[in-house]
Amino acid sequence: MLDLSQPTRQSKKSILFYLFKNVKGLLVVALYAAFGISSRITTGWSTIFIAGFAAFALIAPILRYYFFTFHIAAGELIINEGFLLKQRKAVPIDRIQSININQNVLQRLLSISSLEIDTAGSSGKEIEIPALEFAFAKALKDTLKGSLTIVNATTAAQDASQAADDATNTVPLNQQNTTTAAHKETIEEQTVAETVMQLDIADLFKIALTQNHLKSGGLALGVVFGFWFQIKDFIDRFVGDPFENWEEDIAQTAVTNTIQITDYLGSIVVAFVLFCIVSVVVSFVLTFTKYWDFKMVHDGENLEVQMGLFNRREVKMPIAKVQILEFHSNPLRRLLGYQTARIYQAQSQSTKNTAIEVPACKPAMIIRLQQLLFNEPLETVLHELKPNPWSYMRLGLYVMSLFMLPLLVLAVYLKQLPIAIVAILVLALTGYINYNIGKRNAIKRDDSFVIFYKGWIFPSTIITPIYKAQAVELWRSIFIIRRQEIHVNLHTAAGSRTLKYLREDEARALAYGINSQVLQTKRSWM
Amino acid sequence: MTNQTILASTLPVLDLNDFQKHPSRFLNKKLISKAAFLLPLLLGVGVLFFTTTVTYGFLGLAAWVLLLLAALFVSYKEYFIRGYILREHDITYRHGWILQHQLTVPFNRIQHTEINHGPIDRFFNLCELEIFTAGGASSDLSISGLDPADAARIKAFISGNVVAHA
Repeated sequence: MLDLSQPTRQSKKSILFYLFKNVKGLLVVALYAAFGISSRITTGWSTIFIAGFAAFALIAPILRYYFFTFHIAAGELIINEGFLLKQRKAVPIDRIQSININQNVLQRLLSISSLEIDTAGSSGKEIEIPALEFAFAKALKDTLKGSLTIVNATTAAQDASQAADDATNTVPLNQQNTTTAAHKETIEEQTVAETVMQLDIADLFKIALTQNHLKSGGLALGVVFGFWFQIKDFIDRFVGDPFENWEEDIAQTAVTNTIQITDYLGSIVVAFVLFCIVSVVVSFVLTFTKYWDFKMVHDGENLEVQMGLFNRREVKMPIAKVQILEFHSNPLRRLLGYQTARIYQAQSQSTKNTAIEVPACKPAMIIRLQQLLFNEPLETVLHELKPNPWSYMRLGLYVMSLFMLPLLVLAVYLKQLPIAIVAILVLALTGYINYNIGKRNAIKRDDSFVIFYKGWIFPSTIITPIYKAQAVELWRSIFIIRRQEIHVNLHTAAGSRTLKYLREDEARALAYGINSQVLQTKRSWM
Repeated sequence: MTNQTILASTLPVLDLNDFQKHPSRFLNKKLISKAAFLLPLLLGVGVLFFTTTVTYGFLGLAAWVLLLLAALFVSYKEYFIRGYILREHDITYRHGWILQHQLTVPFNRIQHTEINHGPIDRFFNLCELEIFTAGGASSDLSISGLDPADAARIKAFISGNVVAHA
């Protein structure tokens, strides 16, 4: 245990860390200064300006290091930072939901790591200590966890017996005893760690091969375009706009020989093949950098996941905080019998997502995960709510006709039959896909879980224990009242999940059922 | 503690007629603020009168009146939908006319509650009760247009229950 009663500074390496960050920002400024300012302001002034900026960039990290302190007082973790704009953040330790250690490339080079502390609930209460010695970060995490356990141990014990109480109806007696015993055990000793899952290179290869390549390709395109627009200004300055005469060229070709689509067929095919290759390559690069050396460890109360090649990510998630378990798949991945699992925990409204993603789960692993996270198996007899697939089709058609009907009218007006056929085909396909999505969509529930089945080509299964629900929302537009259909939103501390076009009476019964079950339970849900 | 199995069919079903309406001055407030919100557009119509022909001006005016009537009609309809049901252990709120929402929050999932008065609200002697749940705003409840005394009572009732549940 660390002694944190006195304000403590970060590792001295944090100066270097801040410096690097500043230099990165400074490079952009320098570029602009070199090419932008020089023409307008006299050179003397710009030099002073840049020198001042550089001096500030050098001194600021030292000041930042000096003024960033943290300590524990009266059950709160207190962080003071800033020298011009002083900030004091205090987080009650018993409100801490999760503590994560992250390392990006720079931090790995300096062998430091950042500690992120998240409190679910009100926003703006997330804390990051960006530069700690790796060992110190671990110790600090354990210290915080330690004081957290002391606070929670009593409540946890109550929870355990309560859980057993709650489970009386569904779980046989012997099983109930073991769960209680398991709970007590974990409170007393948390050191038993077992590796649940590890991915080797062969697994990574399979995952990369079955990624959603369209998404990767789109991402690559986005990055290329974004980058292009960023550097466009500089390029223009030196080589002029390469597409300057683009419109004239087109106009000229149009004049000299009328454009035939066959002229471009070759380049279209080449572009398509290129796009496919790039997409797959990007998938591979992304998969290998993200999931390199993926390891999931289960130690008593926590699930710990480590992964990443350059940016090492280490997430520790208390199992009690897990709210939603999701399984996603795609056609390629289904061929290999893999599914992607996502585990969501209670988190505040920050942009950073603390969900754990497990890229490749075989059926056995899926059952294992459910067992591990929820301690209770799913029952086989489930009560099922099916939505009306025709409503899905109708919505899809409405949205698509917004684009396709004008196109159709235009095609008829211009007497372009192929375009009209394409428009009609797209409409038909949209209807077909949406109908099938609606047909697969369903909510199933047993005594302890609600399960959402969604999607058709990219199916997903969403499992959440009923007692973790926060609120159920029923909503609909005025236009579907006549059809007696309604949408269900299930809100949990980790986000909301929606299923549309359910039968009104069934949906209401589901909402009341979940609501009263939440009221009956006294188990802590996050 | 007892823990009997509850069947959905035997539960006390929410009676949709039980919804508590907001005070009628809330309707006035809504209508007036909607009209006030659309007033700047009237300036635009005035500009149209002076810059283009009178015909366009009248067309613009007609469009503005239509928009105003539509907005007022929606607000009017919404008022009769909007309402809450406070029960022993949960609160249900219903709002919206074109998109109708009904959200039930059990008291043991409420993190904290807040009462807000804006300047317009104060003028009409109204206030807004906000009920916060954990993890994001999606399940937060904000009941606007309550009588301040009612809001304070509801808040106290919920807080009392929140303490009892925690």
